[in-house]
Amino acid sequence: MSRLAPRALIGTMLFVLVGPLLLLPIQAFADEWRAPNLIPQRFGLRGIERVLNDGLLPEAIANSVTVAIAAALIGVLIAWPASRSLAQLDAPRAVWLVVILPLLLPPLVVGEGLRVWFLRLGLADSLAGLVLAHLVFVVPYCILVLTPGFTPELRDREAAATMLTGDTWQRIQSVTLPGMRRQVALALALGFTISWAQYGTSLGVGGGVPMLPLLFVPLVRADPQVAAVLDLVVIAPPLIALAISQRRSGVDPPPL
Amino acid sequence: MGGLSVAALAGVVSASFRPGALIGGSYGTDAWRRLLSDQGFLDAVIFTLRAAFIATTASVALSIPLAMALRRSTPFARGLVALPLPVPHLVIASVAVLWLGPGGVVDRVGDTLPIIASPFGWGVIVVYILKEVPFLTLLMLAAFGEDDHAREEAARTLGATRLERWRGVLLPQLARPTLLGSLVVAAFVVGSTEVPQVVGPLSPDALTTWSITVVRLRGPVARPDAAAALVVTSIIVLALAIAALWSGMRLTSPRAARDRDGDDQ
Repeated sequence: MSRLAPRALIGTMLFVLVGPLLLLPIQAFADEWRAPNLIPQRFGLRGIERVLNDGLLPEAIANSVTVAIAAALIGVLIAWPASRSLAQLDAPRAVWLVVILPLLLPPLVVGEGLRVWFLRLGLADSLAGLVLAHLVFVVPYCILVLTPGFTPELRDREAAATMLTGDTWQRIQSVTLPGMRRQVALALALGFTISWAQYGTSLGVGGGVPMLPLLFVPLVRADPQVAAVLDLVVIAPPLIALAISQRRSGVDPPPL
Repeated sequence: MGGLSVAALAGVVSASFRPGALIGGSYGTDAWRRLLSDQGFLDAVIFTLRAAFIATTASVALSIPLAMALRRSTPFARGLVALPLPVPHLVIASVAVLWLGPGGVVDRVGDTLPIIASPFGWGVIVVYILKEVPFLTLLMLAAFGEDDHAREEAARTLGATRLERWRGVLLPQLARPTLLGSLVVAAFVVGSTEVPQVVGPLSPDALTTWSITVVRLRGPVARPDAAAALVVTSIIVLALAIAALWSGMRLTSPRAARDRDGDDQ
């Protein structure tokens, strides 16, 4: 009984937390699913065809991919020196808390607040403005992921490589990048995911640019099949990021 | 990025005091006066705070037994619990509509549950519980040390009852992640836009959706009112964030560590 209760609890919670997601592939291919039937009457590709033939959705997906790739790459480039400094300084907890504070800001506040400035700078309703706004949330996550990689061992190996070759690029190529490969992969995946799913920020700063989350919201109640297809599109990058993080090993998290 | 965050906050504050900021309008407090006398806005404040409180409390209440049960489970089970963590809120809200909305799975099996678009905010509450229970559970699991089982056994050997073991051994370990996590969850609920848009009612609005609705209904002239509502949202979120930072630092300060060590001895 004492063993059965925790297992039953875990099983129930897994069913409630993860089970609902299993409906998505069924709904995405259910061309006809009339109530009160529990099984779809007809399966097909109507949802995918609607997405591909929509006037705005392919453009929105392309825009979201472009912005997310740019935000992830720039986020890692900005976070790299910051993470190295934080690791070298063995930054106190208070500094870490300041790093993560922007993550708690409401995304719509960030979007609407930056729109005021971006309108003056000509960046509102542009992909560049969207990338810049998404960086508010992407960079702290990249810092959190990259910092544990700059271990004292890596720094020792870098010092040895610098002494032996004297060539900075060769040191980066042969020591730093191989040592940071997993962290960089995870930071890129996480950065992409954070930007990919930004709704409030995109609505505030780039309401005129078609972005996937902005077109997705009105479809949720209007067309469940198309919404399920978009759910699967939106969910793919985060699950890839999770897979990468599960493969990550031997890295201590920052001191939060 | 801190500069962009500050610029964003300055942007909404400025927009709330300066209608027509772009064409050089003068400063004034009209938007704030209208906001504070708007019944729709006050309803939005109540709706948002109530949803945040219930979602956070329920998530904590479900996470504690789940974390306790998962303490000695396999990494596979922990991995499964972590699965909803990276799934965007938008997807969880959309899945909630597929299951609980009119014509959804639950509707086909039995009867429509008054959850999606409920004026009380049950839709928002359910989505946040589904999303935040894994987050809080993993936060609590990370707080359990490798020696917690040994401590619990020692307490049991010394004659501590189940309640005493819970209060003396487990609760102190769970206090920090629970407080920190619940403040973060409450801050997320208050600042969320897409979840109330997808599963929330048309009326009352949540704080963030009120700022969208007011511009849609009254036009660009209402932008200062919307900005003022977002300033109020930011103040609530920042107050919760600062409380989380303060509690995190207080519970992990050297003095707190000494107090804990003292208790252990």
